[in-house]
Amino acid sequence: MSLLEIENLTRNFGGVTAVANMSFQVNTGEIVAFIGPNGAGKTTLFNLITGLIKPDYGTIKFKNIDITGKVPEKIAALGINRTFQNLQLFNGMTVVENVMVGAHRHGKQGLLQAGFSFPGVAKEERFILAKAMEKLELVGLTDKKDIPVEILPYGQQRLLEIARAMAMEPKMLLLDEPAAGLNQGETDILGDLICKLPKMGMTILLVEHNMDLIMRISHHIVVLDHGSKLFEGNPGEVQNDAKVIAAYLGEEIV
Amino acid sequence: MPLGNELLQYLLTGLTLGGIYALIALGFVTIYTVTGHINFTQGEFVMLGALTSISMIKLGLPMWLAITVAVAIVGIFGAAFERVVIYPARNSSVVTIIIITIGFSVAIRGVALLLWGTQSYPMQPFSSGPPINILGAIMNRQSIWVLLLSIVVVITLFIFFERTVMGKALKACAINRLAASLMGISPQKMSLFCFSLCASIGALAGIFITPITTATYDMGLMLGLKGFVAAVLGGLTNTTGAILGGFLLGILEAMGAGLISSGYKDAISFLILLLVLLNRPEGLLGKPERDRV
Repeated sequence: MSLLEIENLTRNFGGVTAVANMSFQVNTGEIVAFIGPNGAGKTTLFNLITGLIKPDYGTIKFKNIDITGKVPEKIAALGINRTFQNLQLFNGMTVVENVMVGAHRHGKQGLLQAGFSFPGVAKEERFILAKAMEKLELVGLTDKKDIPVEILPYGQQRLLEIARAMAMEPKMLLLDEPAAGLNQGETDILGDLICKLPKMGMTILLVEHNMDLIMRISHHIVVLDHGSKLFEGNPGEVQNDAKVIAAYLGEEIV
Repeated sequence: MPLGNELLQYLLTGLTLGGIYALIALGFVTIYTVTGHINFTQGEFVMLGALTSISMIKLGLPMWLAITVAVAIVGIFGAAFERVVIYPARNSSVVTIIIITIGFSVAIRGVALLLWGTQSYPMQPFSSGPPINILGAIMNRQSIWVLLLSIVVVITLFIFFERTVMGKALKACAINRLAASLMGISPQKMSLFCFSLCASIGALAGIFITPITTATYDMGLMLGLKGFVAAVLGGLTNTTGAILGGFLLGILEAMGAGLISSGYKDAISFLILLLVLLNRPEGLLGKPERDRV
């Protein structure tokens, strides 16, 4: 069944159409990659899905609920989370605290209890800490847990952002260029990690320029160009499509 | 009185004043870091806390209950203020919001004048007994209550921000609002909570200082401004700075009043504000301005 349904989605910035009349569906448990040249509308698409910007036209349905134009925190509460092309970590907090903020939704205590019941708060704190540590373990940052995030190496900051997103235990996770700035070794670790996520109940949308990574891990690829869908199919089909090669992958020089 | 004793006396007076300034400054800093707004109604929360608790005592409530009820009422008032006044204007510029809060504080003072009149209301100290003699300097018992309150509030806030998930969410919201909202944290709910929390802290400060200073409808103006000076002194985004700024201001004021003339007490505060703003606008502990999302 389809988890995410996008119909006729359109967004203009001034005279520029960043996303033009786009429609596609994403099935539960898939890893779907979005590729295309810079300015093809990939990040705008992510911003539209997560509610950071509102579409001019079209609908976005998640789990059959219309989420078009809802505020980001409402959409997040329905189970969509994302990472950013340029990292958005909570500087000044430690590694594990960052992940704990991601997991805060699993807390049962409301505002008032948090203010008045210390035993309850302590118990919940332990519960959320355990959840956060579990996610750090998955990305291999357990031993860095008490380090302030801003002194973590760049590649590990990327992994941390994914761990924080996972801590929310979203149904759908949007990764915006997760491999940007990573070396080959780190990219391989990242690829293995992403492959594990569908088994944990997450559907993955991925924007990435690293073609090796995309071809290795994605089930389905949507090719965008100038805000429109140029092609969609599995990795094999995409690699052999003449239009895609012309627009993005480039002709092989003989 | 020998100079040493005299200085100790001013120091103790300064610590009492400083405790109150620190609490008000904490209100400014907490609201500023989480919402980006400078809330000049903070001083009126102090006044409302003091006068409401006095009215509650007059209604026959025991003191502890009167204080609890007054803090709760002002807390609810703070939340209502955020919803009715700040929330509709949340997308306005920083200056617009500042002017709104100043305007609203004038309005609150006006209503307080109608409700309570111009007279000053005394309040029983929390514990009776003669002042305490510390190495020849005299300290009111109520001053000790004030210091205790500021220590308890600071420790409670510290535990809240560092040791609870809710506190971390609030901190996250202050650091990166965009990322926080994508974690499902509603910046609007955090703002509401923050105003209510800071109103309650302000109310507590007002109630605890009243047995020393008495309460009047316009007490919030000066206390609010002093709290703002303390917050700026500490860097406006820095909780530790706000506390230090509060105590530093209190001590400088008491020293100036004692050694020069008590008439210059307020002038000293504002001179300090000017000097800090001109020479070190990021405050004593603050970092230079960073980008806000």
